Amino acid sequence: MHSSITPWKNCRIAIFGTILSIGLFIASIVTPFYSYTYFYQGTTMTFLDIVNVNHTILIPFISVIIALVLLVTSLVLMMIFPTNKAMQTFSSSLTFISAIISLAVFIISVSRLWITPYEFSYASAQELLIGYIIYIVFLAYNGILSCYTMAINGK
Amino acid sequence: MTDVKNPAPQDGAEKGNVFLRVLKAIGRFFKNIGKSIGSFFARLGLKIGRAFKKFGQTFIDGSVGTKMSYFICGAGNFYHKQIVKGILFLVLQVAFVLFMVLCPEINNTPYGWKALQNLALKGSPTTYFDPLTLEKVYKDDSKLFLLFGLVTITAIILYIFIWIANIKSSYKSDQDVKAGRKPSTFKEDCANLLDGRFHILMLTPTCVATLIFTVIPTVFMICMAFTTYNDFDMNAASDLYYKNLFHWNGIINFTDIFEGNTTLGSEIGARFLPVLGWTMIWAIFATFTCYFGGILLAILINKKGIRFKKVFRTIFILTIAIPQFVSLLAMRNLLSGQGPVNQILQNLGWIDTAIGFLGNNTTGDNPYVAKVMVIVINMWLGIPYTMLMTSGILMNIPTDLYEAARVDGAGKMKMLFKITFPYIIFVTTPYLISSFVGNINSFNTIFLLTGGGPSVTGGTYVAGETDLLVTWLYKLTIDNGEYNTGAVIGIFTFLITATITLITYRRSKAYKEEDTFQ
Amino acid sequence: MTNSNKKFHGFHLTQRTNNILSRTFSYLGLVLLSLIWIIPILWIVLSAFRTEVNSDGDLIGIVVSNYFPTQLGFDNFINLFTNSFYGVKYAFPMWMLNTLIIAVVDCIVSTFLVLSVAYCMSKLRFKLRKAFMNITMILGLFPGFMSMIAVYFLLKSIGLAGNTAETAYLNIIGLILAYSAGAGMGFQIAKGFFDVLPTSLVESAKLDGCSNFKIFLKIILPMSKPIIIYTALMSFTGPWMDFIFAKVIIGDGAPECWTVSVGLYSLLFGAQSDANFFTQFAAGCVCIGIPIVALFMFLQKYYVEGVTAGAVKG
Repeated sequence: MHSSITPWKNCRIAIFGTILSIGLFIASIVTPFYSYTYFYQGTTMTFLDIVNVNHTILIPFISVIIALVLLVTSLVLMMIFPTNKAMQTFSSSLTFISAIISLAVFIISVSRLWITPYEFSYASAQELLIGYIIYIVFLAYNGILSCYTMAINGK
Repeated sequence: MTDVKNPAPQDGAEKGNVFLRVLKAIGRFFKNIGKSIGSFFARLGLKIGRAFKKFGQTFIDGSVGTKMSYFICGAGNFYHKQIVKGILFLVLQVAFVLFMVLCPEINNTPYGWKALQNLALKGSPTTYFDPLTLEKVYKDDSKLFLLFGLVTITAIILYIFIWIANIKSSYKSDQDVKAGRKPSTFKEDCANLLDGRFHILMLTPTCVATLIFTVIPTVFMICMAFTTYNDFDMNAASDLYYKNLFHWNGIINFTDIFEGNTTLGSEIGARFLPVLGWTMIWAIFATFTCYFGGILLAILINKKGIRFKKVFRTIFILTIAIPQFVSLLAMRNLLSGQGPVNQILQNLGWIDTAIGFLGNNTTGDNPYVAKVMVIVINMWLGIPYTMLMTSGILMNIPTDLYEAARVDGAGKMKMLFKITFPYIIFVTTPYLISSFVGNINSFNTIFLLTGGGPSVTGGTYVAGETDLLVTWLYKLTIDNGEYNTGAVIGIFTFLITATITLITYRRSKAYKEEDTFQ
Repeated sequence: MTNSNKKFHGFHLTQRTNNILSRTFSYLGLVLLSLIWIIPILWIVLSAFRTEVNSDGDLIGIVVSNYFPTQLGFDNFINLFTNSFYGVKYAFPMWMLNTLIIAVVDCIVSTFLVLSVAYCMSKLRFKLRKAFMNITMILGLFPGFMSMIAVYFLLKSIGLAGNTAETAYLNIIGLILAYSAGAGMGFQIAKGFFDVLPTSLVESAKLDGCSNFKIFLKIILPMSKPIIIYTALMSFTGPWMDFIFAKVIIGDGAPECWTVSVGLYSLLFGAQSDANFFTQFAAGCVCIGIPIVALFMFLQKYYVEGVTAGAVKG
């Protein structure tokens, strides 16, 4: 591969994409997340409220944060050591893990597998709030971004 | 492939010509079949004739020892002072004669010539006193009659081989003497076993095991198709005497299915063609989806520039390593009426009541859903196998093919279609055929996933919607004890698979060139 | 690779962009497919560790309303190993022991048989060679199921199947016989491997005066490490994974002599089955799955080689 492509030129799309990704993530957790009608509360809750109630939701949440961190780390590594083979493999691995995490949580969230606290039940008619949609879009976008980062990593 | 015999038709008369060509091809096909069957029997007849001639010739040509060994095994070897070998043959003959005459009994059923007599399967109400349970038990058990009769026949055939081997060894010693050599001692024979006749040493254990555990059971099952072996009838008989007895009844089982005289026959006859049709559809879809899916996946993983090839391959190997019954039962559970998938769909609000994905729910399940799901899940199981195999092949494709194509200016897609695909398909055609046949008989998937699928109303012997011939066979024999009908279906299955395999396999290049590959 | 840089309104992409795009989507597809493939396996593994309790405080055996467990623990494993199923104390460890014995014996016997037959078919030339191969192929076309029932009767009449209680171990011997006997017919893949070994080696050894046996032992075997390992792997893992054969031959006898697959199946579908055993079933699956998967991982290379060799000439 010609070395006429500077690291910056190589990664600039990815870097801007990552900034956008982090922005989406913050947006999704700040807006009202899911909407449930609980049998005894009948209110909507933000993400922080849900986390307070059911701690296992933290697991996908923390994984997503880890995915973002890995993505940023690998981009930094790609910028600093563009030609070092070992570093390339290492940063590829980081991006790989990030892609797996993002897409796995994407599948989980789309099928709403891990949002039901066991002790709550909810009616079948639900309203998806904007936050949920942003969250899903963020996850899918992050997955594709990680795959893209893997693809531009060296040759 | 251009057909030399049939050049492409002229432009003007295409349509009529095509029709004629098809007719001619069909005619040629049958002619070829006739020719090959005829020549097969002709060659067989010739071989048998020659063998008999040689048999008689050896008697005339042989020495006194050889002539005597026709009657007493080992006599020829004693004549030539091959003591150990002679003793071996003599012992075998004596054992055989004792076996046939004395008729050792196991489970109160005899071997030997009495077993041959029992093959007529006419049981009698003799009883014996069972010391274990302290009661009178009816002695005759037809299935043991059949089984032991077959074993005795096998023993007779084995003895004939031993007898002929004995004659041959004596004759060989004769020729050795004539040529002035010393007849071989036992030690030399043993050494010969390790060298020139190594294949006999290596193949004998397998042959014996196959004979006992494969050939006899298969013949037994074939025989069952011609009897009245039917637990249902037998257990329902009023007289205990009939509980273990069945007898030959010719091809009534077969005609029953087609004519539908009895309830059993009509039920089976009605369902036979649908089940056969579904088996074929299942085999075709299952084989081809897995095959092409695996190839595509392998090509995807093997693309240039993709890292972590090993990781991806490992993930897919994971699904192979998991025992099939584990993953199938897991799938069955996942997709069951109260399973997570249904729960999720209900929670998402997409469906109101649970969908019977695998036809295990209450009646009213859509059989097509079950059929499609079974094919999809089979893809999940089967694609990793094909992928692994294709990966190995892809790595072995000579790269100069690709280089030449690139020099000629071919694009990626073109290279894919014109180089990769034909190569893979050529190399894996035998695998495709054998996996097609295997899918016809694939028991695990359907049995564990759907258990036969949504049941069809109309009787106790009908197959479910997703039943294959083999699972139907299982239901009839194990669940219902209809051994004879099950055997009939088994024979049909075999005929179908055998025909397909023989036609396609023999014509495939790999078989023709099998010998010349080295 | 030329880097022609023609960009008209983004329609004609550079060669490099083309590459990157295709790689991106390939990665995306592969990751998604891998995740989909893992979903059912993950379900079993998670189910093995579930410890949700119902209102009585008993362990719920089958919780299907959520994919991810809300409570995790090792209870299922403990229950699996200490419960008595079908009236047999410590049933599961017994089943594992049975299967281990069967697997080891089968491995040794099968490998030996398959290799000898494959070598004979491949390198030696004798009169009945083609006939043997044809007969084997035809015998293999019969639904294996048909012969299973007859084998069961055969073994039962000798007393090697259908036993209960004290003589239950004889059932295991019967099963071993049945597995080993059928092994010799599966020589196709090994034969494909031997076909690729150059005949010139064998011929030159023969010229030097080696007997066939010596050739087999000293030349061929050391060169066939991949196929030996492949055959051994397949025949070792076979009894753990095989279900229907074992069920027909051993299923009728005493529960003490069952193999793991028959036992686990009977937990869910047998005479004393209970849907609540699902989590313990999953724990059992994890128990047998881990060693087999580990074996496959370590011997991955040989497995792939074996599959390829068999398919190419198979």
